[in-house]
Amino acid sequence: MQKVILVGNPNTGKTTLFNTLTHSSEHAGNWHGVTVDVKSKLFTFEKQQFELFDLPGIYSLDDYSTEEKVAVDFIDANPDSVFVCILDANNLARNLFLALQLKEKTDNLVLAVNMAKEVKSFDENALQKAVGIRVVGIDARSGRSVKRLKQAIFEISQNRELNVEENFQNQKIKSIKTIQNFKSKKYEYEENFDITNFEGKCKATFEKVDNILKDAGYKTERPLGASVLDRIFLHKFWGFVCFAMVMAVVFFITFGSLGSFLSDKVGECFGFLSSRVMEWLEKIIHNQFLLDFIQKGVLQGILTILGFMPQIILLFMCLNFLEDVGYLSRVAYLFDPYFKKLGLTGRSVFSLIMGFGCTTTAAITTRNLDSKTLRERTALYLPFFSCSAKLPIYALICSAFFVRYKALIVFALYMTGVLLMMLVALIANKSSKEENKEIFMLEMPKIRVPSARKVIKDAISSAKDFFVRVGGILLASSIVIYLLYNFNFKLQYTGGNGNESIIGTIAKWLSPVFTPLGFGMQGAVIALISGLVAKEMVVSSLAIVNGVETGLLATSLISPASPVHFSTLSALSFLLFVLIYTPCVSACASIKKEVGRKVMIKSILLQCGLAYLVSLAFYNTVNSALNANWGFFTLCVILIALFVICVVKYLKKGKISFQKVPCNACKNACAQKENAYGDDNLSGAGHQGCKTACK
Amino acid sequence: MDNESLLVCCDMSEICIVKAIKNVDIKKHKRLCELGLIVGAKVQFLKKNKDGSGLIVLRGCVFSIDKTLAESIVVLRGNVCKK
Repeated sequence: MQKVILVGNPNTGKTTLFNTLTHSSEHAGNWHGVTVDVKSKLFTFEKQQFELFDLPGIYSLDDYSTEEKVAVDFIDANPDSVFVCILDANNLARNLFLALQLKEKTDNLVLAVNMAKEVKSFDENALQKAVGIRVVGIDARSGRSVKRLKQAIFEISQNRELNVEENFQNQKIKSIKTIQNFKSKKYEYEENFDITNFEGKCKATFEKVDNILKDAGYKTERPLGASVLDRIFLHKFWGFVCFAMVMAVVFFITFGSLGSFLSDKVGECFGFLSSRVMEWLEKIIHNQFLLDFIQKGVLQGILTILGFMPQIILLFMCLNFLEDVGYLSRVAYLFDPYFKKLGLTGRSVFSLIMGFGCTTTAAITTRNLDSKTLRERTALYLPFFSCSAKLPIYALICSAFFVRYKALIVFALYMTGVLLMMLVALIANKSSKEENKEIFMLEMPKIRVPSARKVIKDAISSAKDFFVRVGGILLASSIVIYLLYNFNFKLQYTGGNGNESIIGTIAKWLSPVFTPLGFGMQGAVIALISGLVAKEMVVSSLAIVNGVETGLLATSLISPASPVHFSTLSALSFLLFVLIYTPCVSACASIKKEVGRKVMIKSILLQCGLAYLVSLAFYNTVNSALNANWGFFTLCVILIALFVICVVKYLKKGKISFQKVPCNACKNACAQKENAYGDDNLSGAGHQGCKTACK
Repeated sequence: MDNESLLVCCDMSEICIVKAIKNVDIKKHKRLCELGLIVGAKVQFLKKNKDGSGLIVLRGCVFSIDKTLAESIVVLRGNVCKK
C-alpha cells in the first residue's frame, strides 16, 4: 500500500487536511503542537488505497523537541513515501524553507498550499514554475480542491511505481542514496555542530525562498498574526480583564444555568431508562444479589458519568473554541513574564490550560516544551489544574449544599487550584539552584472564527474519547468497588453492610487520619480511595455507599441518616481535598512516561501532602470560629500567619532566618573581617563571627 | 543603519537588521535560524513592553519574544540606545 506523509510547519492545517482526506475527526487547533504523535488512516482514490500519516509539525528536517523528533524519525524511516508538504498561503516566506529542504531529499513531493484563497497574490502556476515542485492550492477546512490534491498524490505514486518498474536498479540506488541523505543529516547533533555554517545554510535557503516568491509575484498585505483584537487581548491591563471575563463566561456556560439544566435533564432521562431496564431485568432474573450487583455495581457507575456528560461537552466546546480562535497563544504571551517568575515560560500555558480538560492528555502535550527542566516543572504543576473528571464531584456537592452559588463556588475552587500552583511554583523556583534561562519565542496564529459545526463536532469527539477512555475503567472500578464493599476479608457476602466489608475495614483504619479534616466517615474515605483509580469513581462510590441512585445522591449527602453525610463546612473541606489530592492512575502513568518516575512520585507526595494540609487548616480554622472556640481559633490563625510570614520572608530574601539583625557596629566589624558578607549573607560561619564581634 | 545595539533597545515600528545572536545555546540558536532569525534578517517591534519583551515581525510573521531573547539579539539601527 502506498504511504502518504503529511509534513509541514506547526499550525499550517495538517490535521485538518488529514481529517478532510480521511473523513475522520482528529483534534486540530489554531496553535502549534496540537499533534504530538504519528496518526494514520486509510483513504481511497481511483480504486487505489493510500495510507495517510499525520505527523507533528516541524520547522526543518533537524529535530529539536521530542514531538519533532517523532516526525523526523518517521520521515527517515519512510523515504519512499509520497510527501505532501502543507504550507500556509499567508506564511509562504517561512513555510517554503521546509519545502525546499524536502525537495533536496525526495522527488515524490507535492506542495499543498492551504488557505490559498486568503492571499490575492497567490498564483498556483507561477509558484509551481518558480519552485519546480507540483503545487496545489487548497482549503483544508472546506475541502476545496482536495480532490485535485488527491489526483496529484495519485499521479506521483503512479509515476513512482512506473519508474521503479522501468529502472528498478537505478531507483534502488536512488532510494539507498535518499536513505543515506536522510541519515547523514543527523550529523551534527551530538558533536561539533557548527552554528555559523548552519546559519549560512539557512540564510542561503531563505534567500532562495525570497527569489522564488519574487518570481511567483507573491506578496502579503500585513504581518500574519497581527490583529486589531490584539490591542485588547495583549494589553497589559485589559488583556487580563479580558482573560478573567473569558474564563468567567466559560464557567458560567459550563456550570451555570445551561450546564445544570442539561445535566439535570440528561440525568432524569437516564434515570428513567435505568428504572425501565431494572423492571425488565427483575422479570427475567430472580437472584437478588445479581439484581443488586447489576443495579448498583454496573448501571450506577455508568449512569453517574452519563449524567455529567452535558457539562463535560460544554467545557470541551469552550476550550476547543478558544483554541481554534487562536486565543491561547495570546494568553501565553500575556502570562509569560509572570510564568518566568514561577520557573516556567508562556509556552507552559498550553499544557496547563489543557489540564482543565484532562491531566493525562495535558501531560503528553508537555513534549512541545524545549527543555527537560521546563517539561518536568510543567508536568509537576499540572494536577493543580482541576481536570474535567473532578467536575461531577463539584457539581454533586454544590447541588447539595450551594445550589444558588454553584458556579461561583466551582469558579473559586478552580482559582484556588491555580493560586496554589503559583505559590508552590514560586517557592520551588526560589529554592531552585537552576536559573531560568528559557527563552520564549512563539508564533502568533491568525485570529480565526471557527465554524460552529467544527466546534460542536470537536467537542462531541473529545467527550466521546473521554467517555471511551474512562468508561472501561469506570465500569471495572465500579464493579470492583461494589464487590469490595459487599464482601469481607473471608470473602463472605456482607449483605450491603459496608462497615464489615474489605474496603470498609481499610477505610476504618484510615478514617482517623481524615477525622481532623471533617470527613472521617468510612464512606467518604472509600470514595477518596476509589478516586485514585479515576476521579469519576468518587461520585459512583458515594452512591454505592449511600445505596441511592445518582439523582437522589445530593439529597442523601445532607441527610444525617446516610452513611456518608456532610455539613456545609465538611463538604467544602472535602471539595478542597478532592481539588488538590493526587490525580488518577492514568494521569500519574502519563506523567511518568513523559518526565520520569521521580517527578511522578514527587507529584503524588506533593499533591497528597498539600491537600491534607490545606483541608486541615481550612476546616479547623473555620470550625473553631463557628463554634466560638476562640483559643483554638487563635492557635490556628497564629500557625497560618507563621506559615505565611515564613513564605513571604523566604520569597523576599531567598532563605528563612530568625536570627537577629546585627547592629551597625557589628556589621562594620564583620565587613572588615570578611569582605564577602553583608546584610544579605548573615547565616553560617560569617554570622557566627558577626555575633561574636557584637558581644 | 550603521549603529549597533541590542534589539531590546529598539523602538516600536523601527526596522532593524540582525547582526548577531549572542548567549543563546546552540539548539535554541538553531531553532531561531529555522524561524528566519538569521544575520541580515529584518526585525521590527510591532508592540513593545517596558521590560523589553513584545511582539516582533519577522519574515511577515508576528512572534512574541521575551526580554531574555530581545537582549540576546544584536541589531543594526539608526539611533543607539542611551541605556
